[in-house]
Amino acid sequence: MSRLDHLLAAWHHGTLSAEELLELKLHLQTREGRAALIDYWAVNECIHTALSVAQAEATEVEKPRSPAPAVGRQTTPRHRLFLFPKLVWHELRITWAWPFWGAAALGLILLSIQLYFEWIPACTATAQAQGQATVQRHNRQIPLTGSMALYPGDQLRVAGSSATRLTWGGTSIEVNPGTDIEILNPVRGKRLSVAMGHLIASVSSQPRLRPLRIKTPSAEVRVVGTRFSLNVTQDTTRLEVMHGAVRLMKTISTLAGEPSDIVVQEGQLAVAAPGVTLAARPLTGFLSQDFWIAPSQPELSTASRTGVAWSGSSIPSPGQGSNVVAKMRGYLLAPQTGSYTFWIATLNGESGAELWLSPDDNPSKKERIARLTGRTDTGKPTQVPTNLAAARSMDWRREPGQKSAPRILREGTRYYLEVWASTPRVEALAIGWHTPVDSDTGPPRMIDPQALAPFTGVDALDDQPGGRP
Amino acid sequence: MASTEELTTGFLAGRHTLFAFIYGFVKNPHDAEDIFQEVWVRFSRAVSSGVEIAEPQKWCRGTARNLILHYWRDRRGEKLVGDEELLDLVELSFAEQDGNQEYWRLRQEALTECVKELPARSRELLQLKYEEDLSAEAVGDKLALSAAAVWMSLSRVRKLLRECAERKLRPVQP
Repeated sequence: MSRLDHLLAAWHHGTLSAEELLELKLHLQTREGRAALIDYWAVNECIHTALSVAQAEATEVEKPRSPAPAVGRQTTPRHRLFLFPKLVWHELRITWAWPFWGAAALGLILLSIQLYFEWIPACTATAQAQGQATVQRHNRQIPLTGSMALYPGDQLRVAGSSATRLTWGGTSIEVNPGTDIEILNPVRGKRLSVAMGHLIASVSSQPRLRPLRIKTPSAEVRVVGTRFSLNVTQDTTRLEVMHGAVRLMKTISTLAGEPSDIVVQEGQLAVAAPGVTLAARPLTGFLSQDFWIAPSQPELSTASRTGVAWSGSSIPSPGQGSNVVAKMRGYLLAPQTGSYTFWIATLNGESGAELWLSPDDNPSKKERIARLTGRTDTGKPTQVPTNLAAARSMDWRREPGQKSAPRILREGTRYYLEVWASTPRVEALAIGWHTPVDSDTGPPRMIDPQALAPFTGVDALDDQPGGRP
Repeated sequence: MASTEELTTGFLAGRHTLFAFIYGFVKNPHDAEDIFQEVWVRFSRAVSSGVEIAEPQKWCRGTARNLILHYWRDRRGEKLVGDEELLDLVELSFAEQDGNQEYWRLRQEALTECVKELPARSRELLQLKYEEDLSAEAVGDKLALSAAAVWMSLSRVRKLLRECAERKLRPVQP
């Protein structure tokens, strides 16, 4: 063993003294000394590599006989179990394997959350029967009694004379008699299909990209959150929007230059039908209407506080000891600026009625401007007159309170209007007026239907959607 | 400028001498493995980020040198002898051998084969002294030898390995 070998061995085993270190450095000043060092260290490296490989091979061979892993640094050093763990990790990192798997796992988690919170509850609707209705499920007809959960594929058919209420999440749909409606599988939002009939929907706020969609034979309606009425026949869909906005898409052939879809705003209507240009028009000509059943003869306008709302747009049949009160409300659109005088009248003065008007479109500012107490000796059946005959049959001057004081209205302004009548027979009710162009001394004339529009707001006392008179 | 593939090939060709360089200073095979892998990680990162590396072996030795200095500094309490002057001289020694990579690679392969051909008792001796880092006395206790006999045996085994490698390389020795 040469002196240099001895020094290198002492260095390797940590027994080199300071003097020997100096001596080693002197040896390394020569080329031969440096070559000897390389040789010595190369042997060290080979011993390590060969022993590691041999140990790894021995571990592989022994594994079947002794499945329990050896413990401790001496028997299972890290580098023998896995020669280049950091190298492998680095390779994975630079090939983007981890970001890929991370993104995949994140996507899976998000999908699960969406399924749990949106898709599964969105599948189930609840129908509450108030009249005669059936549910068709897998070719079976199930009579609807009380509440029943509906699932995609179920078909609801409403017959008889009372509406059925369908609730779906926060959305409430009043399905009128003669309507055939199917729950569709929710794909990007709740979906319904209406083959025919009439429904009035109050749709809660839906996710913007997942609106409620209602398919009809001639159109598709997309709703984010609103109240509207939908009337469907074989080839016609009529949409009337009371609150919010609804997108109507015509799915049958359109005329040249005609838009295939429009957004129908609050207070507008649109019709999708063959040969009819798709356009939004003002919703006028009638007032919203609902009924209240009070336990006793009420002060008319307090019926909403003492009675219960009749949930249905059809006229109710009052029970024993109950009084049905009709409420109509909406907006008056003054055709021109000037002084107006109003009358309220019922056919032959047989029923009581009240007329309320607000100085703007805010219902809370309304005040009663005319009132008819009505006669009490009703007993004879009353013929429902035509419009012209009604104007002649109405008793306009029975009571002084029937006539309002003159009021100044502005052209183009909406005024909230409310009418109460102690009869469900609204055909026997009339509102008359004198416009600025009429003579003050002549008899009143029936109010112009084009000056009336249905109620499109929401108030705290009554959230029931109104129907057409 | 060399491509990523060429640089990686260059690194792999010189991996035995790089490990020998690190192992020679660190002496503990497991810590030497750690430093070696850290050098590889830094080298790969530098290559991927477009750092221009003219001589991969020299670049890796420089990185290893810094890591060895850190290693020494972190283990001051363990009475490790760290000497920068020695480090410079050894680095010079390895730099002189950079042109003989092919010869050194063949020699490494030959030596590795020779270690495998050693008798079981000699390999056990190497295992206890080099891999398990036991003292000569502890190795002697296990093999029923005196400490002096252990040193003598180690010296003899190393000589055998050198001769074996030279014998295997003779036909291709430059």
